[in-house]
Amino acid sequence: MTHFILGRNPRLTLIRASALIVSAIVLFGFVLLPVRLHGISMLPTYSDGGLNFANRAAYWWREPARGDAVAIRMAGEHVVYVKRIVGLPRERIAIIAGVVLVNDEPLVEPAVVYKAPWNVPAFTLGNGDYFLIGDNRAMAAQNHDFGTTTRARVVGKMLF
Amino acid sequence: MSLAAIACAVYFWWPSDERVVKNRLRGLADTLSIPAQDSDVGRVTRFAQLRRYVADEVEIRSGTADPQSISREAVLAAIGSWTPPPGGLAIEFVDVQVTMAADAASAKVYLTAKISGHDARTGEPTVDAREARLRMVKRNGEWIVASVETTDTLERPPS
Repeated sequence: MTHFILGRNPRLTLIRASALIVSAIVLFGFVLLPVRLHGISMLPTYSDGGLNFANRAAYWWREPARGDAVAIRMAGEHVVYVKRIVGLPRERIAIIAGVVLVNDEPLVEPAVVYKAPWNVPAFTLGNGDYFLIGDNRAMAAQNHDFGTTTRARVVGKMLF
Repeated sequence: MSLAAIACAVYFWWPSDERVVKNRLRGLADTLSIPAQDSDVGRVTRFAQLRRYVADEVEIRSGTADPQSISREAVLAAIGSWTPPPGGLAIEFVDVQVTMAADAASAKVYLTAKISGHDARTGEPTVDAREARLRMVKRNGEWIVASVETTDTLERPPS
């Protein structure tokens, strides 16, 4: 039985198993954060109950970009928001009849299928601030968590 | 090997005020949770337990609003008047970070309150979460909540 588990070269098997365990700890402890999605605010991109990963490595060498779907930490990383970045630091943002305006130019959002007539008066993001909204704009604005957050809260980019 | 196991056990189970506060918060979350089949007796019992977790006066602040000082009786009355969703709800405090004051008589707590329930119309499971900062004080050997401040993770733009 032991021979069956450890193979012909038990030492090599143990080294492989240890390497696999260490790789998994590094990968899931420092790079990929598993995220179970709840809610409908990111429909149709992500459906309720789906599994995804927030890739922390995505922002090790570059800053978050417009259009990235990202995980936003709360008190920690056990519960996160998943939203899409719409506005970048120092940009002027407004929403008129469901159309997002960035520096007074309408934003093209391929991930958004239907836009309910949301309205948000123009405001300017601060240094290090990002404006995020979910892809499901068919729902009423008051039922949808969206708004401004800081760079420090962005955990990583959704893997797929 | 056994020495390492003992060292780990001592590290993880050594009594500390921080651990006591976290256990107390677990108890509070259990007390705030409402079972699917709630009864009048269960509700009264929960209220009696909840009283032990709240200070005489609690400072409550939501988002950027000004803080309000509310009596324990008013807090309990507000919770009592709230109609829970059918199917109950489960409250869990996650990512709990406790910072003890130098005199060990009070503590600042930063946590995420995770609220799991069911949609009233569809019956589908729902999960909501809010960040909160609590101040807990030690009174007669028990840790009780003296202030609650909820924070918006995503700050709504001015309307």
